Amino acid sequence: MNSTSTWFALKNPVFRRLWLASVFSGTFVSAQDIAATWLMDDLGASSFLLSLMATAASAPFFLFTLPAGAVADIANRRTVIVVAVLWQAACSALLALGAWTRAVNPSLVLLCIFLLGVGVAFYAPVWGAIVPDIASKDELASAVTLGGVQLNLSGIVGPAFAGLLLPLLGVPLLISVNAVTFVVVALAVWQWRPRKDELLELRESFVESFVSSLRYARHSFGMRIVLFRNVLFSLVISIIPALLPVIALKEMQLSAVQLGFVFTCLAVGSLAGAVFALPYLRAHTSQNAITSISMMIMVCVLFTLALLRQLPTLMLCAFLAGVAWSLAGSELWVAGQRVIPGWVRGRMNAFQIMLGQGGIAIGALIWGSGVTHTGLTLTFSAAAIFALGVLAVGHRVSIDFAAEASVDAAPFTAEWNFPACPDHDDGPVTVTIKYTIAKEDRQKFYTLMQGVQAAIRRNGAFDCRLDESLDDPGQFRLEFQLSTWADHLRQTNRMTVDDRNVFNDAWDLHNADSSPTVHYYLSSQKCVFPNNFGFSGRTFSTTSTLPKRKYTVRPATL
Amino acid sequence: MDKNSTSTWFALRNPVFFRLWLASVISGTFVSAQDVTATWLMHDLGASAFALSFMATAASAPFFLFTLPAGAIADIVNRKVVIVCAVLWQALCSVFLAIAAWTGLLAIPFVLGCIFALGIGLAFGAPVWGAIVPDIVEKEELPSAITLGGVQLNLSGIVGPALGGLLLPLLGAPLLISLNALTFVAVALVVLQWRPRQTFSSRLRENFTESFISSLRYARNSQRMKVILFRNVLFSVVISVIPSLLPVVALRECHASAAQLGLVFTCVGIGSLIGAVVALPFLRQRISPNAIISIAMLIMIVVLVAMAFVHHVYPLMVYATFAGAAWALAGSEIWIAGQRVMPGWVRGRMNSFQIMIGQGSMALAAIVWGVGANNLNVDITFAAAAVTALAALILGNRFSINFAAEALVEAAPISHEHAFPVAPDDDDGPVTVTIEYSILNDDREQFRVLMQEVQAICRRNGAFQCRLDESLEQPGSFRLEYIVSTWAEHLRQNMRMTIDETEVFEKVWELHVGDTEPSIRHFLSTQRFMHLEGFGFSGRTFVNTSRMPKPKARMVAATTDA
Repeated sequence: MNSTSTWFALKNPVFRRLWLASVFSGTFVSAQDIAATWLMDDLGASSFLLSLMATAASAPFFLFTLPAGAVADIANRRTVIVVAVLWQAACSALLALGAWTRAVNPSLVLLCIFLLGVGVAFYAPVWGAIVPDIASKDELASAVTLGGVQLNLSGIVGPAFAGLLLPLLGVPLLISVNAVTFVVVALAVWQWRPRKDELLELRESFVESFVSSLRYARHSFGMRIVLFRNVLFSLVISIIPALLPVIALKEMQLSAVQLGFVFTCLAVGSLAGAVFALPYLRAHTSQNAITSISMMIMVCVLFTLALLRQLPTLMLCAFLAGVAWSLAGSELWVAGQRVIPGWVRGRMNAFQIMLGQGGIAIGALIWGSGVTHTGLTLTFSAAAIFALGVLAVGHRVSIDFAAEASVDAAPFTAEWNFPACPDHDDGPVTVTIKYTIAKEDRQKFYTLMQGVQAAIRRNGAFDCRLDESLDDPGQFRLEFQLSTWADHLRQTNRMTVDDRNVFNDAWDLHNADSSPTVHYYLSSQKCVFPNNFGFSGRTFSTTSTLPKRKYTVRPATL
Repeated sequence: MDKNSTSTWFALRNPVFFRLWLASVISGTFVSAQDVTATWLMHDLGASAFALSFMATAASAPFFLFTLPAGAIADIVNRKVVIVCAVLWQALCSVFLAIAAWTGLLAIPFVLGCIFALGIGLAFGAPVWGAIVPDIVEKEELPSAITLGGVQLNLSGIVGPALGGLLLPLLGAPLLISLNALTFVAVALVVLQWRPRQTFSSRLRENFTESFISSLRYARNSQRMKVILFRNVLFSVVISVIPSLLPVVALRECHASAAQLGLVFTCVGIGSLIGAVVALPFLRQRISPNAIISIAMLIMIVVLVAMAFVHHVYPLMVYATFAGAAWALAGSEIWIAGQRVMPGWVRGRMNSFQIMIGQGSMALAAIVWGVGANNLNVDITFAAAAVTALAALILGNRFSINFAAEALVEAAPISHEHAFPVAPDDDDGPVTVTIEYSILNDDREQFRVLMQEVQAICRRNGAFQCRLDESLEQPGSFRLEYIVSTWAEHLRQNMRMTIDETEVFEKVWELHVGDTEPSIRHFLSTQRFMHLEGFGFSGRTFVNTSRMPKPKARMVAATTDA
């Protein structure tokens, strides 16, 4: 099997088991959504309650994906997955029990859907984060694709699958099968033995973890590009799920079975895109070109739908949209995986998922109201023009840099010979690096230092400045602050190969006999209590606030 | 006139101050008198109770709205111009009101508008007047001048209404208002004659926003200022019982006539005059400022308890006299303490803080007392006020203002020469300054305590960030780092240093051990050259040659002279 093949990573037995489990799980969740809709309809729910279903299913994504990402990066990822899957099994079992005994009512169904959504919200970012731990280096590209494919396919195949099985099995049985599937998945994941990661003592708290994810997203150019592209893509693609039923049912008066066919075409298209088109294109063009091709397809599809509305055209369009969906969706997801370093992967995946889902939700809202106010033809034309715009922007804001990103950890291993080592929670810690730069290197230095400052900030510093000495022009001082000593240790551990290269380039510009000098400081803030209200103007002195660290000498270790 | 320098009148020997002070007393008094007149006019026009109560709002609202900006302006532009403009503005408002009164074209909204406009003039004039006093008088005249300034501010509000009550039946509203307008013009002429000394060079002048921000920064980082503002709040809360409940007691409990009510208020005025002129010089020679305030608070407690039991108007007059004396004693002492701890550069702004906080807490407390008297019971309200006064007395002992007497806030600019190869422009920044100290283990505690003050000094004089770090490689080696937003701000920071602040720096300097002096380094941020691409399109780094550093061809030797 060729390594550009989509299936390449499946030769890895651990990955194969987990991937299959994840596909099953994802698909069954989607299938169950349809079954639940059926059930609701059966129970005589109003159309308002039916529309609430979508809200109940997607709300957990907005509420819990980011916290889930933060949890994914600090807790044992295997445990998180198993708990999330068992949680889903419990919810399904509850729903199935209700369906069997006919004891359900619409509110109970909604609650179960919501609780299941919570499980998915916790599961999705973690699953994305463990893939690079499981697959070997040459399997990674394929594994990541399969991960992305799974995420996209589950949403497409699931409903079709449900449409097929529902008449055969009936709602209660389908949901029970689903519950059993979850348990099987949990068992599969439980067998996986993850590698040991990070030192336990340096683990972040939940709040720290959350704050560092925001800091990372804010100071990582690559991440911001990927997130931006994700939002654009979601806004365009959201017109397909939002308006296909409208065209089919309202405009063309198709039957339910024919609508099922249209959706199946969509699913078949996305499978074809992932399995046939993607490996071929990947071997021949760049990632960004693939997303451009996908956008071009979308432009054609949207223009066609604006003008022609016959069943064969619609099915062809659905097929092509499916292809475009899986092409661009996978490539953007892969680009994201390539620029995210391991330590923050869960959280950044959560950002990607949340922004993607958000884009789809908002896009659906926009296109939906567009149809109500201006009609199908205008809305589709507008969407086509918007897709053209996205195509142009995508060309300018390329994701091709992701292919060259090296985000493998390359920890700095500075040896500290401090007379007294700070405790982990001592801080804020200030680090200064002094560079001497020749006049002609100045501009180059500024350019490099932008990268250095961004690397320092995204890896943990809350403040970072570059100052030039007024007394001695040409002497530059980089100063950054971290809230604790543990943050600094984590920061050095988080450095990637790319980060290190920028540092080394800046280091090389240093123009003096010795290397740039690095100094470490610990804030005296802890022992200097500013006299808050300045009572009676006297200064405040107690000896109990003397720094504790001063008199305990421990070896400084990473 | 007593020539003793503790005498209240001592500073009046200075002719410039004498003229200005007299002008300010007359102006302040006439504004108060006019307020009474305007109330009377409103009443005459058949205004509703609501419109009448709205008068107070129209008069005091400008204080909340404009005092702080006025303070910020007072410290950046020519103070003489501000005062003259404010006074002429008031003259204009009075003329409008007078014309309308003569021609009988008055309407209620018009009167309210004029009152509001007059208030704006007052809000701009008050902090500036406070700020110029130390520029006018000699050093030994300063305490007396400050007292007179404080006395003026308190007396105008007390004497004015009495005067208004006396003159109104004699002259009639239109004539009184016209007289007031004339008085304003006379005051403006007096102020125009004064030639102020030159202050800051215009090169380093702050703009309005900077001026406003530095006032907030100063108040936040000056412990002395915070204590004084706190004491101001305590005092205002207690004293506000008098103006808000005196009419209630007089009319409801003592069934006083309108003329008797006027007499009661006159007693407050007389009491405050006695306090300022007789009691204050006597007490000041013998006890500390904080003790004087404590005495004032004791008087207030007695008066408040007594008022709860009063049922006749004559004892009430006696109590009112004592309350007036307490008002003058505590009010002057707190105001003086404020003047003593404010350095010149921020005086206008800090005076506006004092005025605003004083007026604000008085207004809020008056509401509380008013509601209490209305809804609960007058006696209970007085008891509560007495308890508050007791609390203020106890807290006042804890948060003494006696430190003000020893404060030396004369400017003592740091004038070290900056021998930089290339001088930064005034608007270059942020500028980082680091000072490295080596401290012995034994001195650590002392250093720690001193550095609290040093950091506060750095901040209140202009730094937006200030930190003290200890080297991890070399424990005992401390680095103070502060950041100011521009080079001009750093120069201003150096010029703003007072004698007290310099002393603290010197003490720290002495703790430093080592062959060399603590090393001071200056850095200029390279932020100007760092253009992190807004959205990081395409991940490329962005090189724009137009952002190259300005050619610093001129090799200027930078100095702090300005």
